[in-house]
Amino acid sequence: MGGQQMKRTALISLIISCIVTVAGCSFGPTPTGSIEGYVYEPEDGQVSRSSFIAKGFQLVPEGYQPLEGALVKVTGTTNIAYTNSQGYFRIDSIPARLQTVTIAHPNYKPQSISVWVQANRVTPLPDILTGVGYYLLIGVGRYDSNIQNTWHPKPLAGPPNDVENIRTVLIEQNTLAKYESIEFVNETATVEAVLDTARHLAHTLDSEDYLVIYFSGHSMGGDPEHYYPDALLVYDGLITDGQLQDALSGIATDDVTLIIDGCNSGAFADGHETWPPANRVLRAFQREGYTVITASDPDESALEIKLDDGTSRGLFTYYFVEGLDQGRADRTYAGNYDGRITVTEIYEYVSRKVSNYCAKLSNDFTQTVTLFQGSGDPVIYQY
Amino acid sequence: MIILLIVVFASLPARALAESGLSNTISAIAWKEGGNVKLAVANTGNESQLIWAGFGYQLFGAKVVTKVALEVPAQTILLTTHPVVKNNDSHGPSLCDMVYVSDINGNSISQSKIYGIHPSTRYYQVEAYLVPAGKPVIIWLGTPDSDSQPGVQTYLDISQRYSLGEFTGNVVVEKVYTGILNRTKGKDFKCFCDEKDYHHFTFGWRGLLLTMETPEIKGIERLKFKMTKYVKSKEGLLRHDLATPPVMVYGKEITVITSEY
Repeated sequence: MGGQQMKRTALISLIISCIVTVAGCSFGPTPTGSIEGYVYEPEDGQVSRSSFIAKGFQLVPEGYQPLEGALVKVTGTTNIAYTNSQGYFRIDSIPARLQTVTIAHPNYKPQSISVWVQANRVTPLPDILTGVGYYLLIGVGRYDSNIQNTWHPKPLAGPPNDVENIRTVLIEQNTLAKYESIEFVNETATVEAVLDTARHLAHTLDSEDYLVIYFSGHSMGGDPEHYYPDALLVYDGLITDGQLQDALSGIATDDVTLIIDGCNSGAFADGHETWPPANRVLRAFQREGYTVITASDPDESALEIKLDDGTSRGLFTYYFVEGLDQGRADRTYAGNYDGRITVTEIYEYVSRKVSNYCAKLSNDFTQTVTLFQGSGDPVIYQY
Repeated sequence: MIILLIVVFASLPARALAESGLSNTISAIAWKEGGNVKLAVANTGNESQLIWAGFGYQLFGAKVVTKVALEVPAQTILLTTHPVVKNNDSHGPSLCDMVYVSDINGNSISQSKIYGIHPSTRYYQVEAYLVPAGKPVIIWLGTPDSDSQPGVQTYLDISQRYSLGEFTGNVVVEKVYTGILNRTKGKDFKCFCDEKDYHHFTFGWRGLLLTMETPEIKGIERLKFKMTKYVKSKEGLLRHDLATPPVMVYGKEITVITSEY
């Protein structure tokens, strides 16, 4: 009898200690992190701009100045902060999970944004975009007779399909911002049309707008000492990196993204402007705020693949679109599950997919995605 | 064994690689040695194979300047020597820097940069591109000069492990060379100057010595590792992987046949 009583007591003690242990786990300290950012308002006299801009990094947009005294609050918590004279704020001790941050100021309409707060880290605020996105899409796989006789380019079936896929996913499915898009495919993609459009966009965009230029087709470059410039081959000629940079000169925004699916396309990211013969200090497309992501490095070819349905795609574009579609790049590799895809996230996704695809080929072919990031980590897709 | 060459100017089918049925048994690498190009074609199949090796370059598609037919015996690496092929077209590089291998029906099997000629291969020198299993692979890796500017910092990541088929091994950095000046008798190019009026120096090899011990394997495998380059300037950060040299490691049962053509 005494033995049974002892067993019962021991069992009760065991159960109680288990409950205490579980309770201890449930009520243990919650991991926390911090967020920081900068808030800017239009400069005095800029009446056409009615809202502030918030960024995760200190980069004053043209026509803006730091906004002091803006209230920054994490929804559902008592964590608040006010921006200082530099427009800067930081909030600590935020439970590490997806949070909503609201920024308010008496002179402007409040804005909110989702932020994935990571434990024991300071997370920069994702950009709150207030402007319009302009997209220039170019896909060329056919050429006029002059180009055929001069360069003998192989016809490509993929570029029109690539443009269509990019339009569908990067633009139409993108909930990021309002947009306008312009497309040139094959015969419509002439040197004059593309450069005139680039010049027009440079004069049209405001400083809070952003520009994305996408190209699929033949490109060349990678050897500035010798034979040929860094260039895109369009229907009736070459567009060099210098010509494109010149067409965009004076653009008010620094948020420019160049996406190129072509051979030797990394030449557009390496900063070496080759034509017109230029001072390399200019570092074409290597500007603060600019982003350049290309299908290959300056010395490599870029692959075109045939899908099971018989249609062709650029390998890089295929995985670029796949990474954006349904937010895949946000949920793999560098993804942080915050509903937005940044340049880093899509680069990590596409570069690995392309590299893994080529590794399975039974030959020496390599294709390495190249990235130039001017500043920060811009968001290119929201879902 | 070797059929004489045919000089053609032709374009291979478009960017897409329509793979031949031989793509699992035939592979090739090529490199510059002295004034010639060495081409190693490996056949891991059980039958002798007849293939085309085209020398050309990549510009808006593959361009083949000249090609040669080769018969590669089973379980063999056929090593042939060819002259460096010049490109007389006004476009493209002056020397052909690619080799395109196809079966006798023209279906692509593989393509290889000619290491030592192709611009992407300027970063390194390899002691041997064909290495018997069990021997070490030795690579000298140079640092690119073109990014050496004030305010620009170049970083290089090299993977700690390599892969060789299903085997993985260590990439060992044996040595780090820093820039030094060595005396030299003069230059091997014309400088339009009176050599005797100058002291002559050249920069010593600046880079890394990598070694990779290989295990005993059967068949032929390519040794692969990863290198990533980062260039940081005040404008931002550039990054991309670097192509690594294609060293073929072969087992004892593989025969290496050297042949002139």
